[in-house]
Amino acid sequence: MKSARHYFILLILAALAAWLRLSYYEPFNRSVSNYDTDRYMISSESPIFSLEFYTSIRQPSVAMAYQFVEPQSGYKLTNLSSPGDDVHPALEIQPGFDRVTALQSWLSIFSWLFLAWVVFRNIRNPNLGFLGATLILLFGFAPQMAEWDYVMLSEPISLSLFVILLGLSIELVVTLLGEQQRLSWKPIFLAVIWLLVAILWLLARDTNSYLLLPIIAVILLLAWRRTASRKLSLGYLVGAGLLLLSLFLVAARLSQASDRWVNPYFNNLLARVLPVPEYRAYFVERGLPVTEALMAEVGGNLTELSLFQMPNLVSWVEEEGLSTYFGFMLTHPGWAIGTFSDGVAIAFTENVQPFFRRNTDVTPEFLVFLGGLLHPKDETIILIVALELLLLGRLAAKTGLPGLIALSFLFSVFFLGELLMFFVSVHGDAAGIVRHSMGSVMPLRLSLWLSIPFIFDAMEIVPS
Amino acid sequence: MMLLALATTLSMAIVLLSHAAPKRSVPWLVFGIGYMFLAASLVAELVLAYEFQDWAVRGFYWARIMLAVAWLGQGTLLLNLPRNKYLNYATWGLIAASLVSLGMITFTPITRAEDWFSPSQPIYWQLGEVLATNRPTRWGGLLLNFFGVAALICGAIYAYLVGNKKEWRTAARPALIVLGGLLLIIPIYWPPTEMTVIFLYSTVFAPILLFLGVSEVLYMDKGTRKPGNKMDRQ
Repeated sequence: MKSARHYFILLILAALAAWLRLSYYEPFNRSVSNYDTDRYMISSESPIFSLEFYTSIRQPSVAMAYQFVEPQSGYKLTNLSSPGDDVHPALEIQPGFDRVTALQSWLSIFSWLFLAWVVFRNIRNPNLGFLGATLILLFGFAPQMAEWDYVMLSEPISLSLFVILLGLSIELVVTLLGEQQRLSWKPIFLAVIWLLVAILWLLARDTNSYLLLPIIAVILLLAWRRTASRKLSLGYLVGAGLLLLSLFLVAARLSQASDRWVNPYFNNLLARVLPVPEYRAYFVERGLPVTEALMAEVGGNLTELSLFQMPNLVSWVEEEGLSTYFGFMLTHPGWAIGTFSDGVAIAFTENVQPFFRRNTDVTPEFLVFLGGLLHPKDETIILIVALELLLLGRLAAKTGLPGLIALSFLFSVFFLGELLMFFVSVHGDAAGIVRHSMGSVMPLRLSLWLSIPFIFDAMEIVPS
Repeated sequence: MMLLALATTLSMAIVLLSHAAPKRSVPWLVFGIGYMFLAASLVAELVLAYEFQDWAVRGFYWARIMLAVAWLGQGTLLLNLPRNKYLNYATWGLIAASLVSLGMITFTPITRAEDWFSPSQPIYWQLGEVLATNRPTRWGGLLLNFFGVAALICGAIYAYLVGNKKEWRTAARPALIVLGGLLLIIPIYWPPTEMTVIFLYSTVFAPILLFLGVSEVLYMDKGTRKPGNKMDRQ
């Protein structure tokens, strides 16, 4: 049973964590940019209520943030990083971008504190709750996570929104269990906030929408089996399922219309398709215009903008490219899974941001070491997380506690969604796998620690 | 892996001590203290994987090399024979031995091998070089570990003999206790030279196996708790 004293201790933990975050990292007026940063600036210039804003070259949620905090004097990109060229500058003050760093940092701090509070609330044993909250706060405020707040790309906002979404999902699921057929104001309020955060998160990175698919599947399954509808009206379930499905379809359509996927598609052609004659033949049979100029790019640098100067190629990719690639994956499942497996290994090789040089006078090495333990570079943690979820599910089934069953379900659905996002990220672009997969890898690493206190909280020990 | 081992061991210690507290159960308390020693040794091990620290080396030796197995063994015996007065005397003896060993290890000097200490190698392998333990300390540790292993094995055998052998889970519990105990004792006397996968996984699984061996978790009945409408978050 948790008392005010326990919440007071949690408050102290949270304050210590916030102090750690504020003291051992650079000030919020510093930042570093990348080649994509100016595209966020350009995207942010369109009106928010225009279709152009949502189909621009960069993700809408990030452009929205840039527009929201832009100072009168605008942004000045003065500190450019290029990890591919081994350029890793120190953090500097870039006029205007200090506001973006501040937004990203405070959003990140709020998201991790929120998740820690939610986890603490939903674990019965106060000491296990403290352990869970501590693990989450250390995970979130380790350099491997916190340093991303200084990078002017989409990852910081996307990851923070995911953390908030996870916390809201836990609260929503547990709150819904206590409801009868007609919902009270609290779950409706939570659901509305969840929806708003989900929309922002979906529009922060194109692969995020794939997390919705297993959630939709489970909701519709529950509606079909009438399992949860003993508690909730069937209408709510079907409505929720259809709403989420609509969100997924809208997000996918906006992404497709934006042409953000074209350059990554070129990378896939250059790295995965064109070098192998058999694969090349499959695409050629379906109209891919292979020219000497195109083949000359094979084996060179990826993200090769010269391919945009090949009009036949561009028009084929826009019209037939996605369906052809999808058909190729379906007819070559071994290749699809093998490529994903290789991508997983690559995605786990790094756990720190590659964009700027850490200031070791500010961030102690021990914090980096501790963060390295919390953000493991071993892809076998995916198996460990799967085992943890199986164990949690088994315990939930044995206890028969609805709350535990619901949370076990929720974590499992998120796990499946993260794997799906991971698959799409790896196949979405042959270049930058580490960064592009981060939206899946971070949640998987988080799940490793998140499940532990819930598992042990579920255990009851009967004296021998 | 080591941090995972620490998180799981600490969680198990919390569960055990939370179970012991309301019932004022000495067996669960002793067992839980054994897990606290394991957790403390893992903290020291993590620190030493970063850099050499005097207190971490001494703390690791005291908690892991000398005491953890002994306390876990004593806890296993008490769980099976909670009202045995000789075991209760043994518990007091263990407390006294723990305090004496703390004094001994506090005054054990660190050697010059500290200069070439390698955080990337397991502390088990380097411990003999960096810590100038005297004979009473080493023999004390050996005696405590011998007692611990013997207690784990005897406790496991007793549990098997009195348990329902037809129920496979009941029959399997003693095997888990013995296996967990072996995984705890092996690195002490056959120290690994590298952070191999087997060593790291055994660090995670040894406490888990022991925990499963003594807990009733594997065959807890549905309905042991009254199902509520929601998580009774408090």
